[in-house]
Amino acid sequence: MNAPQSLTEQLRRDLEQFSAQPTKKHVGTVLESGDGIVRASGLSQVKSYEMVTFQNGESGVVLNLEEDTVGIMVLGSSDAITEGMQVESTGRILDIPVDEAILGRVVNPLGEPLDGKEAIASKTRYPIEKIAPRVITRESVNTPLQTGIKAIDALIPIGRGQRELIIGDRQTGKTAIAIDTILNQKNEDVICIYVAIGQKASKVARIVKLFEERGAMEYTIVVSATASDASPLLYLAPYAGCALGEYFMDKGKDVLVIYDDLSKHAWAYRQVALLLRRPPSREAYPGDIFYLHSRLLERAAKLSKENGGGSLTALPIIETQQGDVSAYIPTNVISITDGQIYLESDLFYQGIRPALNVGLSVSRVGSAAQVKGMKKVAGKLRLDLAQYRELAAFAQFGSDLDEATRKQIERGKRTEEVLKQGQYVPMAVEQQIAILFALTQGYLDDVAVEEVGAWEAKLHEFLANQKAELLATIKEKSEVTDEIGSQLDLAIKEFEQTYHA
Amino acid sequence: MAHYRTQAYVEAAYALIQEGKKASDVSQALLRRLSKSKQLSLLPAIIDAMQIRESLGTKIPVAITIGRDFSKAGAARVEATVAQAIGRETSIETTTDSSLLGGIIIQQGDDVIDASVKALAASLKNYLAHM
Repeated sequence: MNAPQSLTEQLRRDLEQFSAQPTKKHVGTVLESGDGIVRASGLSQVKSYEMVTFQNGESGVVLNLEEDTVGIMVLGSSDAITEGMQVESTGRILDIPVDEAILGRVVNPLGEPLDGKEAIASKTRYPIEKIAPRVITRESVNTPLQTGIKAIDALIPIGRGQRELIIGDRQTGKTAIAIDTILNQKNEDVICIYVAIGQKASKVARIVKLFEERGAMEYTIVVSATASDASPLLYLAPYAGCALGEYFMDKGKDVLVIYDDLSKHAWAYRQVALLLRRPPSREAYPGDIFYLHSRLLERAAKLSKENGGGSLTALPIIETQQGDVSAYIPTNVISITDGQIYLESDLFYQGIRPALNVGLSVSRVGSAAQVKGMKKVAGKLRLDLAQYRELAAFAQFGSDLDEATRKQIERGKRTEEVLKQGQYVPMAVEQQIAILFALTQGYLDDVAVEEVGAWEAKLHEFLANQKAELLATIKEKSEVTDEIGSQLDLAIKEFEQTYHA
Repeated sequence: MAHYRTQAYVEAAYALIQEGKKASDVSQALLRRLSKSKQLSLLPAIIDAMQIRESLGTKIPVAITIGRDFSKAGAARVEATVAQAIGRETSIETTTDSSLLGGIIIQQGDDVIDASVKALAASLKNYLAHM
């Protein structure tokens, strides 16, 4: 009977490794507890952001170090924490377990599973707060991150390592853009992290289900701190998501992190700061509210080749009230990020979806990373659209328009139509190039505005069925050379004949 | 006006009395200070703590919790060892807590040495769970 004996040996070895040493602890006593904040005496050698554990098993983070007490933010419920309870320092700065196995999981900001599957057993832990990569380790943004949304990829291109803000009122499709972008990263070798901060649990569940159905969960991690979680968890969520992203970035991978949304994050931090009795400033936010977001978004980076060449792209979301982008938090985050995608409810209700305001949306660094072919076909689009908007407003007054103006307005209408796109239907870059090519070459000028959508769908179908190799060439070369241009011309002409037939 | 906890007031007042300040002057100053910081409700606690502090003198308070009562000789040995380790005169208060299942916990200030059977069992459980 060899097997059981070896098993006994194994068990014995395992147990012999266990040494029953007395433990030396550093403790304090709870003085007061309430609203998720505990004040404790003792703990004289504790560090800022150090984890502590309470006698009842709850854990907390030390945020305030005062003369004779410390302020502790409780991670979880503070209901059972009573005065006089012992609190023990752990000597560990707040961190999160990181591992490849965390892909496809739904976790809370402490890395504990929320999807009912096994715990994440990883020896590697990343600190939640970390200094952003230094200047010397970075390089400028040079690779595109395709969102699969025509209006964004053509007009406001995003590069890997960029920070692009998605801003707009409630119900304007901010999360929809973020989700479409994640769905579009399938087969792109980009790891996506969706951080839900103060969202409804039902919304998070819906998003996870959608990711699962579309096979997007394989390359996605969801970090969730819902509206029902304690505000300390909401405050930590984006940093935890970022730490997970940094783990993959350090391995040379491309990572996309979505913070949905930072307005609620600012609220959560305001609550914690006020309860810790930190002095309030404008709109009752604490004085370091700018640093709160700048230190988070600075961690987005494109690392140089010598440093692994990984990247972390950040898409923070900000919800505005009645379109007021000049409020405190929106202006802060606008100034931190490398551009913003501005969504308007007026456009949304006019049926222009995504409800992108082309005039106010910008991408400060992404155009350097835009694929050449896209740059070629979309180069003039932005200017044309702006001119169209101006002319359209003007044309409302008079009906007598010269031919050139009328043409420009007609082209503008079709451009607007082409840039409309349904939810959860991200489009490959070669398809985007094809339809924008058709638009700029005037193929759509004879198509009625209401028919543009149908025409486009048929064109994609035709190209996918009959001209697959042309699409493959565009994708491979990611450029529209004269040769490819003439081939596209021919293909579209051929399609027009079948369309009219 | 900064708020301090009871022990801080006691230590400060005790230090002043040790310096040779008159007890009545110190208590007046303390009362004024408490009234300014609206902490007069702490007074009973401060008086109690002051009495304990006086009885301690320069001794270092050490709390010992044991799982099972031990013999007088055993207690003396523990006291001697603790006093030797700290290097100063100690005032030891010993309590018995049967939930420890055995062993000893020694606390001096913020530092705790936990050699109870309960803690050892917990660390064994943790070890087995993460083996």
